[in-house]
Amino acid sequence: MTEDKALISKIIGGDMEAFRQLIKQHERLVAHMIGRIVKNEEDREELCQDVFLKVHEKLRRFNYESKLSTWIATIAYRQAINYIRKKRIVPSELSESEGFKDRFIATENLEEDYVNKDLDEKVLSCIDQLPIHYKNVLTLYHVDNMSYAEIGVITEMPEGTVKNYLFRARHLLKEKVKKYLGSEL
Amino acid sequence: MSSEENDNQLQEQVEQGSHRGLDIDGKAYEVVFRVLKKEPEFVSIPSFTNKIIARIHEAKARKALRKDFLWLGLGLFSFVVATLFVMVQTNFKISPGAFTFISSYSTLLWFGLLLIAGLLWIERQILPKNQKQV
Repeated sequence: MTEDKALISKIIGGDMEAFRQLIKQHERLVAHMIGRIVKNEEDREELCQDVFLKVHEKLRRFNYESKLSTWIATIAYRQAINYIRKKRIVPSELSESEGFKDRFIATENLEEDYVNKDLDEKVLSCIDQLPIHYKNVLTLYHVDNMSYAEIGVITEMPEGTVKNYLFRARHLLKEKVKKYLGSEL
Repeated sequence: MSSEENDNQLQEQVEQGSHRGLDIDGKAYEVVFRVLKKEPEFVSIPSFTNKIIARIHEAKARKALRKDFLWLGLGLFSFVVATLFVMVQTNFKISPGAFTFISSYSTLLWFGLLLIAGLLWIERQILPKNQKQV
């Protein structure tokens, strides 16, 4: 937190080198958040830039109530959600719709390159097919090692919902993997 | 214990690494947790930071320009308000005043205007282009 404070006061004072350092420290986190939702490469890069522009613009208003990384992730999350709203992605993509579980588990991807993928790659493809909120909580929890509380702050969801989404997402993936394991045995 | 509670417990055990069973659910969860730990593909673009800094400078320049225009607008507005205020206070009436005498010399006025326009046209025709720019 002390390091964050020193870095922030330098940036507010107009130190661009300090801002470069902030970008370097958080670009992975922002890339994870945006990358899970936005598949178009050009849009993805522009959105990542927009996130850091917003960070620079709003840094004076950062109140140290959360970690700097949590605050930046919140901006990235909102930016990504605004993007999908602008692109008019259907709401069912955000959370699990009726009958999603059955469709998700039953759907077989018959493309040749998919059949040739190893199990890990298949699971990664399955993660991409999950609703956006599920993908986000999975990434924040497992890749960025954030706590339930931090994920709750970022996604504006109660901790209970975060836990529930994590549980359901992993359960869906497990059911899919069971199918693959069953076919391998 | 419901199957959901069982599943929840199994997830916790696999996450903590304390699951020792050979059941297919446990094995599947082990695969899921292993894959979830994998970082999504990330390629750091060398020019990424420079692009952001350039956009910040552009935004600052735009903001400064907007500020200049705002001050210009405020200045013009104040000028108009002050002029109107003075006109009202001094009971000022707009009249041609000294310019009324020109109406007696309208032919001379038209001659002067045409002469200036003619000289400008001749200048454009005679002077080479590069000299005009100077």
